[in-house]
Amino acid sequence: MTERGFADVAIEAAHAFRVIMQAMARPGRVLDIGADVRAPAPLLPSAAAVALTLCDFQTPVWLSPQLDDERIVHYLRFHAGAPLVAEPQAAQFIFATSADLPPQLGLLQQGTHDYPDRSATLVIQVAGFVPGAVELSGPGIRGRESFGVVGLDGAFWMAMAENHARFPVGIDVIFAAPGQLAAVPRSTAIRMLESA
Amino acid sequence: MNAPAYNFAYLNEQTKRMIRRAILKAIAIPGYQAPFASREMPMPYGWGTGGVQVTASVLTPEDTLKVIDQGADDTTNAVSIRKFFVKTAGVATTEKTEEASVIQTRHRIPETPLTEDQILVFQVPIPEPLRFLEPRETETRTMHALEEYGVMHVKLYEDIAQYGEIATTYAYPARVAERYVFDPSPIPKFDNPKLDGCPALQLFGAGREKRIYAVPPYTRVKSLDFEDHPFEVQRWDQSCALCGTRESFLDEIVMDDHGTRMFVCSDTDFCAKTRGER
Amino acid sequence: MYVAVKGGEQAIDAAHRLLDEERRGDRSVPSITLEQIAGQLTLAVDRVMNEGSLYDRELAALAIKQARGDLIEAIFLIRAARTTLARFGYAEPLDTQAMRVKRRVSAAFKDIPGGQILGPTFDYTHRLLDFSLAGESEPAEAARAASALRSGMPRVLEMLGSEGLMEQPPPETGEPADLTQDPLNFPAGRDLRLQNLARGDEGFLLALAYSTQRGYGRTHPFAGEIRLGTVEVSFTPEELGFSIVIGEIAVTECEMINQFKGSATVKPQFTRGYGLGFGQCERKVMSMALVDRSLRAGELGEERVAPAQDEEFVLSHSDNVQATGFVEHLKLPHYVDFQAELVLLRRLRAGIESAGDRLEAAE
Repeated sequence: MTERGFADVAIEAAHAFRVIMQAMARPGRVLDIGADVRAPAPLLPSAAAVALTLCDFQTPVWLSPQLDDERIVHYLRFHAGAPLVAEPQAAQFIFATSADLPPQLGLLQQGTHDYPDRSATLVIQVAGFVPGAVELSGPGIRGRESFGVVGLDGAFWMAMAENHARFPVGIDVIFAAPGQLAAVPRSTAIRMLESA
Repeated sequence: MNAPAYNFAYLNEQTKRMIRRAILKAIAIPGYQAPFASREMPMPYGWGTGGVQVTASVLTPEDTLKVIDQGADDTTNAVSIRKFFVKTAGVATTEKTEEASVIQTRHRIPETPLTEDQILVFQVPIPEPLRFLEPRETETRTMHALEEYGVMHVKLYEDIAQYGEIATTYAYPARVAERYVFDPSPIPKFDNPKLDGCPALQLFGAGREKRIYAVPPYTRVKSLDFEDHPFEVQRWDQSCALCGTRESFLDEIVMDDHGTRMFVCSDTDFCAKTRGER
Repeated sequence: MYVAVKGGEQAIDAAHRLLDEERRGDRSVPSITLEQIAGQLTLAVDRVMNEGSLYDRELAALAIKQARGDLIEAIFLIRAARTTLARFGYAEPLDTQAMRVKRRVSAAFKDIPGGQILGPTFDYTHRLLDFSLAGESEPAEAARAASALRSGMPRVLEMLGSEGLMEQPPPETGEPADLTQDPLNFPAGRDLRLQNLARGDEGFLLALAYSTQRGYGRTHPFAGEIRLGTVEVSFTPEELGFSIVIGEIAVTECEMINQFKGSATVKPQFTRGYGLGFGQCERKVMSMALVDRSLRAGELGEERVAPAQDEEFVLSHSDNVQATGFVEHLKLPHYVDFQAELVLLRRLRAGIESAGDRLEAAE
């Protein structure tokens, strides 16, 4: 039996999208996502809301090993009709947990200089947010914003800094925690903080 | 024959997902024109179909919508678009800038400063700032990819050589976050400074040309200029004949056939607020 | 005291009621029925279905009535309705060789296997107004062939293929692109170009096609075959896994034969231009075939010098719903930008006048 997904697709997807959009527009800001959505564990409802809001038959999806569960696969096929691909490089949306990220972010679809929008969006399931790991600046941020994610270390943020260095090509990242979302697009500059 | 029932905010969910994906990429690459598979809307191309598709994709039932054209809430096309969303999305509407959570506009940015809680959606006829210098999409795409904006500077400088100043008064090109040169839609250059560092998210929809672009909040938007010819906005000798302000963009009203003119705010809500009439 | 004009909403509602009244016309005359439009203004219906990109005679008739006979307005209504329709998938390619033919002519040969079939055509009518149509008179019954015309008539262009004189049809390259699902990007493949032309404005394509005949990118065309008739539409539902016939539609197809002198790698041979449209639309499909061939200039190594050979120019301007929207949007208020231009112009002129004054004072 597949979980039901959004209670009312048009309305809940609209609510979820507003949160996703504001998160992308205000990098590092943690927003509550209250969409009425059910999802099979270990897929978090917040990550499921992102999937059901943005993915469909036009968007190849890759699931990390921890999420590559029969019930989740069936859930995404049933509600989103999204084709699942075997390699993260072939995906437009990548769903992973902080514990099993695809090995090299630079190998995900980066877009081209002619079409930088043809790039992957990485959705990472995380336990929560703790500021202090990195300082973010750039479009969407007034001044600077201190940010950090439980379970993501210096190596990840180094990769994100390299991702920003490739701007305008590169990937965009959405962090999905229980009941919360934040995002760091490629436009965001990243400075490591001493304490990290 | 039965009349069909329409989805919330008219567009079907698959269309919204496609537009929403384009909006996110547009936000992640400020000033870049992201292509999207614009649909035929029940209003003509060139009449706000891009703005309408963007608004339909960001709207929630709890939103309060304001629609303006030329700065005014009661211009016919603004009325028509507002009516469309009342009918298809059932949202509340307002004329008061500070009450609106989503504002769709054609040709103006409201005089009342916007806040973080607001989204401004622009209707865009020609999204490509280089289009009047180079009609071919294949060429302009390469120019953006290579950050090759020399032709634009040459054009602006030719103006200075001929007229002593830059003779572009609206749709004045600007650079977003020090990367993409973009067309802020045909707003008067008077409004360009409001784009810079704006707390609200600004989204731009071009339906016929099938492009969406964005300026995230607090993003640097620098109008193109030269050190010896800095960017300047329009100024009037007159103040608004209705509210007396000297701070707003003024429309010229022809009063009779003897050349009598008067000047009034183009932003009708701002004018009413200044007069204390709302 | 000046009071700003208010009441846009009431004005719009009143305008719509006036429009309804004008549409209805004289109330002592019966209102025109959809059956009359669909059954008697058939070529108008065909054009609206073609450029509206939706095969539905009844909806097209409704659109024509609602648009007061303005076909571009009717096409726009159909396109907007099309946006709201659910999409189940793509049909199998039409097999026009299996067409049940109603009319079929070739200008390239005197006679062809299967025969030249004139069918219902204006071609040899004398364009004299027929005043009997002003009354109620019914036409005489037309004579028809005793036996039904056979389906599966051979294609004229294939008859040349066996000698190697005709270029081979292009190999199938998987799913064709669809500009209603993805934004048009350049360069566009032939599949995308043909889709764009099939939806394109008949007048625009006609003028472009005509321009190639007058030397703006000549293609030396012969009307190889024009056929009109009905074909079956098949669809393979995902859950069935095999194709089923879901209906029959009327189409017109044109295959042009164009001379080609050959290139360094290709021997001289005839090349093809292709046109296909809903219903009876010979002018449209002939124009489409000519423009299709012109747009192949790059592929065939011809110099691209004429408008009809310029893919970006043709494909970006062929859609009359886009074109009419943008041209007519100039009716919308532009007074803010006009004010900005007024301010500039006055200042520029004041600058020139004061410079002139200084010159005069110096003299």
